[in-house]
Amino acid sequence: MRPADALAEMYPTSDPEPLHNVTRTALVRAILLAALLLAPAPTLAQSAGGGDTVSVLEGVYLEEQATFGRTVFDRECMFCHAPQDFTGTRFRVTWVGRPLSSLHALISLNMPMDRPGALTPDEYAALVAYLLQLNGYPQGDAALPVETESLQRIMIESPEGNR
Amino acid sequence: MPRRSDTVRTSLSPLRLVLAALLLAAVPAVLSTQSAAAQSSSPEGEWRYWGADASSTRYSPLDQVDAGNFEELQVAWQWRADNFGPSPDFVVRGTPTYANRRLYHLAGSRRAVVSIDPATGETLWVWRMPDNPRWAASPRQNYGKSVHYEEVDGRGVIFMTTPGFWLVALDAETGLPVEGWGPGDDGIVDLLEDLGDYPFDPWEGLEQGEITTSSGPIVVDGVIIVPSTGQQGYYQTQKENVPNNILAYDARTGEHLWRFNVIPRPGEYGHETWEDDAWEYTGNVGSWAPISADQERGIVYIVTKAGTNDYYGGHRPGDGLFGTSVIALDAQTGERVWHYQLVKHDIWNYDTPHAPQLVDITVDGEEIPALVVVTKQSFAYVFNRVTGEPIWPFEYREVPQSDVPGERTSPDQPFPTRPAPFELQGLTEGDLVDYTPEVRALALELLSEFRMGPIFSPPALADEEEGIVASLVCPGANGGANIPGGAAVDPETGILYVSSIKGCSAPRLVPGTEVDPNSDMRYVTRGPGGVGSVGGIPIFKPPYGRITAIDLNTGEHLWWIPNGDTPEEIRNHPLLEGVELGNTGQRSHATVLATATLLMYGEGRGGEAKFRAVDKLTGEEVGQLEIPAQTTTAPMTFLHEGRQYIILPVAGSGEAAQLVALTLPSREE
Repeated sequence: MRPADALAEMYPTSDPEPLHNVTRTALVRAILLAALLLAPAPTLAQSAGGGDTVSVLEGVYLEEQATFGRTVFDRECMFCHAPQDFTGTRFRVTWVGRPLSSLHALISLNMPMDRPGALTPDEYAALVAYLLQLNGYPQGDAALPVETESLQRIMIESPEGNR
Repeated sequence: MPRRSDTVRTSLSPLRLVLAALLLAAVPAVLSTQSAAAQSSSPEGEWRYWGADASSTRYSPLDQVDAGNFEELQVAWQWRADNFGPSPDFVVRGTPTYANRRLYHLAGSRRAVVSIDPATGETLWVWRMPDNPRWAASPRQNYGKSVHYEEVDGRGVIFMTTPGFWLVALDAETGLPVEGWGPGDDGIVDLLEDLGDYPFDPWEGLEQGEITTSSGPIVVDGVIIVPSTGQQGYYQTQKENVPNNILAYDARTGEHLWRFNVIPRPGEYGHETWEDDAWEYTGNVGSWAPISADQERGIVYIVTKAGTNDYYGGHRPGDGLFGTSVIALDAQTGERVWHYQLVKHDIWNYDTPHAPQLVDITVDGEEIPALVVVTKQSFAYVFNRVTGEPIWPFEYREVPQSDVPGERTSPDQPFPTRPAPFELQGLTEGDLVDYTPEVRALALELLSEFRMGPIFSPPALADEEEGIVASLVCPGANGGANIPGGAAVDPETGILYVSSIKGCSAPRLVPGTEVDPNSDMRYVTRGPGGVGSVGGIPIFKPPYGRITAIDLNTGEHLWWIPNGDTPEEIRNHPLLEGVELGNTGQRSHATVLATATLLMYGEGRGGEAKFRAVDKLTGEEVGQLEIPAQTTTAPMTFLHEGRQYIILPVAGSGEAAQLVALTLPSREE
């Protein structure tokens, strides 16, 4: 079995879903943003403390953040990218062993292709959370931070079943 | 279809009313009157065009900044574009122009025109088109490359094109639209009027398809030539669109003069290259790269991209003139002088990314007026710019053929025999990284999901049985060469300095409806985009980005240098401990600028925030400076009140778009 297939079997969340229409996307986004603003969870930067590093296996994002990331992906990325392209061998060989700040920087400095850097910090963080979820990394009880300094301390390790 | 000028006048009234209100409210700074001789190319020390001069050399004869004082350059001022759009932009795609003691620039996604004091960075005036649906629909809002400054009957006029597809004439001193110019006498021309017979609403835009502008207009002997472009072809899911025709206007009146159909209509040259009547519905063939001109001969040079869309040509069988071509037009009449199709039936996104560059060279004792076109595919195509003859022969060689249903690849493509390609073309195992057996094994594992092949290997469908997700296109959609780095050419020596990166794209074709339920295209791309890397280590051997000096008199490569230093992530990579790396360079397009004394460059968006200078004849570095952020496109230089300034468009890593002006300390300091 190919790693991507194994992942797909283990993590049914990567099944494709139809595009949301604009109204629904906007509504979902507004609700999620409101939820994030009203109930701020401690961010990882606060909970990790000091100069320690943590692993993505420890749960470094919130489920609602990944859900929001999926709506951002559907709106901004779907025309060129399929979610499965960020899993499996390519994800493991490209990203394992690197800090999450590298993945975040690649997206936030270069995407969307026609207007790089144009999404909000929350949207870029949510996209990273969605990619972590796609790869089967566990969610946690703290939101993935948006600051580079905090992301530099989160290391990407091999997801279970993709070594 | 009837011309719609009456409708236009009436329906445009909302825009014109808003505009009139803005004009009444505006209190532009009134500048002192300057008198300068009417000239159509850059007077000494000026930078009147996107690429310095009508030849797009990106070369200045200035010499105050030299090897001895380069590192003494200081920041004179910083001009910020943060608030010239609904959100800050993190890329600058425009290069300012300097004419008659003022700088002119395009700012932010609204593409506001600004006049800037060259000595202080103060904003002197701002003009922008009022908000309108055509702006909102533009797929290239923040893509403005430059304005054009021209003296018309002794008056400085700024010509610019908006994202919503209007041509505007502004008084260079006040920033106010020129009264008595254009059909409404208000300084504005609606380009949709003259595009062809394509139904449109003047307020809402085209009824079907889309069109916009990216590069600015150019004026040749009283004629304004306007290039146009459309949506990025990798996004497109509809086969129907409008052609991005080239339009021309009278600089004195705004009157429409001619139109060149980039997709030839029945009876026009090249019509037969659109088989199965594909000309009827296919659009694009845009010119988003800046254009250049031979002012003495009255010829304008334009480069183009493919028809709709970038990676699947099954709905547009045939070579598809004038797609991915260089076109030479008589500026007065719009008649084709010559053309050359660089890529037949382009399905690689090899749109021509840089202005053609004019330079006079001497080949085997013969003086030749030449034109060089640098490309994503990493050929520098060199022509006699009067006749269109290649200086060194182009050979038509057989290329791999597509097996995608409905696609008919061209059996061959032109390969210049000289100069040699300036970047990796195609990909074989021999090109792969071999720092350590482990790194190489990981690169091979990564590539096991991709099909490798020579240049012009066609995009493919995924092959699930073989575990193939895509075929590689090398160089990829980002080049090779591309607009951010581009090239400079030294007219004194005939040496070309071209910036490039090593790269592959991985476009995977999927059914159109997979991306857009309303798509009427058999296939569109929705692929991984790139190959990935080995934990951040590129899959190829270095250099990852470079500058190559090519002597256009001989076609020989003189030298090449890596762009900047080895990236920190590579230098300190745990998989590369103990490995002698040398200088890999940054995988980023160096943004080059040539002067009488130096070749200068920023490392580009993927590099460090540094500005460097090298010896033009050897490539040896003579100095480097820290700058506030990474350069994002072509720098420029000019002489103002006796001082040489260098302007760097920069952005990135949290720094929003800005211009940074460098100059030497004054002698009194």
